[in-house]
Amino acid sequence: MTDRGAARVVVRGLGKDFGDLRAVHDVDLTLRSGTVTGLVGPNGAGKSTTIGALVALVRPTRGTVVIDSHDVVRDGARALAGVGYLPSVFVGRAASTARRYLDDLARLRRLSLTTTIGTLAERLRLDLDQPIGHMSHGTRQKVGVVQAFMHEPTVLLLDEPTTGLDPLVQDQLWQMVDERRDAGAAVLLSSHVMSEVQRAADDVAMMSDGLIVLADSMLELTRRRSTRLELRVLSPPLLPVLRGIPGVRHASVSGHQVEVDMTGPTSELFTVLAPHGIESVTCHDDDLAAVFADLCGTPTEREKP
Amino acid sequence: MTALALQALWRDRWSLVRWAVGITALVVALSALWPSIHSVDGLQTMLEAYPAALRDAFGLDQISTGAGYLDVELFSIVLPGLFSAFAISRGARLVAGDEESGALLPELVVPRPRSHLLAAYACATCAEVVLLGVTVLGAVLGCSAVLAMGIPLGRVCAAASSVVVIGAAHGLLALAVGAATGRRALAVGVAGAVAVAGYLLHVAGTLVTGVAPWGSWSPIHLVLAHPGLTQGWSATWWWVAPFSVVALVAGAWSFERRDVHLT
Repeated sequence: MTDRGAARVVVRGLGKDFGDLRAVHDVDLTLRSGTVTGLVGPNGAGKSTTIGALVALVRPTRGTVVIDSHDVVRDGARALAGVGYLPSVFVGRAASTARRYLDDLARLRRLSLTTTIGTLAERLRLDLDQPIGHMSHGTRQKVGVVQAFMHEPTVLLLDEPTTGLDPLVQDQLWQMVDERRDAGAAVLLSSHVMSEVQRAADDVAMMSDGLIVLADSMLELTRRRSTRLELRVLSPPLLPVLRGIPGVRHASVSGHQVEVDMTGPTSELFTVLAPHGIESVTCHDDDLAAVFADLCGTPTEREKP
Repeated sequence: MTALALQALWRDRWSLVRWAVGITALVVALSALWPSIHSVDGLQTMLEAYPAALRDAFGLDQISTGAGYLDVELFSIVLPGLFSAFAISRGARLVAGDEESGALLPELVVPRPRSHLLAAYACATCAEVVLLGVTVLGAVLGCSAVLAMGIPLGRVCAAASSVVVIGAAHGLLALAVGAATGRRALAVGVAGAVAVAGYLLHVAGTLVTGVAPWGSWSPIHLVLAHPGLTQGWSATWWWVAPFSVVALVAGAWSFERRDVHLT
């Protein structure tokens, strides 16, 4: 068994061109055992192309992808042995029942997984005897989730996994992701739903225009995110005093209303304002979406006029 | 690989059944006309008045016999055309069609080279064409017995094999082009164009002396120049095999190296 935290997937200098279009360039990414990495970015940022290169569906123009010490281009069959992959649009075989389709996929891996398939289907409330062609989009997505998890992958690559799933099934999916992480798998979760990534990921890589613009731990991002405080005080403080408090990025005073944007601990702010008689405090924490918007220079919903 | 081929066959089972029923109905309908054609007075004399090249091109010399009649009516263009259409549609769908629909993605993220998938699908394409050939064999034998056409078993086997060879060659070409490009329309277009061009080359080679040497470049000519129903088995049919092998090897080489559509 691989040590928790050991690198399972190592991407170095990955680039992909489609003609003149540079879809992905110079991507460095490491997926570690026992870690969920969120890959976030707007549509067209290059997330699916990057995942496609990880599973050898897309051939890199530059750079390397190594999974469990096997290069996916030169030794794809070995590299993909422990990989579970859920594409952004899962289709399946319309003429097959879910059971037959999943059994066929298991045979492709030279495995017999009847019991595991049954257990996963039960968790996701999936009727295995229904033909895939008769399924709704969400039910088909459940088949996609089962095929990605059924062989207990050590590297799990999920591209927009919750598309079409109802909230209860989403909860099951997150539990399954947590279980794989706890079992030592390296998980990559691509999404443009920031709250999903915030809930599930330990590390985050943000993509924009084919580049990774930020890669850090969720803990560090949380620490760095800014807090916006709106306070009502009995007597207004002096603005330079507020701006002198460590971590304050922006401060304004309008009558008895004080607004402060800051990072880090807020204790000194309250120490300074206490003598001015604090009547009320409203606190807004920036989420991952705000961090991403800040990096990409796009306004968040809150900042839009 | 066997499991993959069987999976593909199982998925196509109902379509194969529909084709088999349709082709059996066609064989029965055309064979049913045989007694009335056979009883036409002076038919052979009339045909002998046709130019020799035309008689050769369309195999008219023996039309008054059961084998000659079925050779002209079924095995010279109708069945080769239907077998080619069937096989091309299968070959084009098995990689390129599935790729365009997105169904192929999970099946490529497994610990196997893509060429295994292609080899299995080539086996499935050939097996489907063989099964359709067995249907033709049964239908022709049945009609021959009921309508007293007097066609020997060996000749029927040879004729059924000849259309299987033509169908398989075009089906494998469609599969190879689909694997190389991931585009179903292109696979159908290229294989269809090769089939049509091959047939035209066959006819032109028979009618025009100057074109005759080029006939060996036509898979259809290699088979139809020696009709199984009237002449029996011919070793020249197997010269079609290298075309298919080269196409498949080139298709596999490209399939292993190209990007797959992520839909």
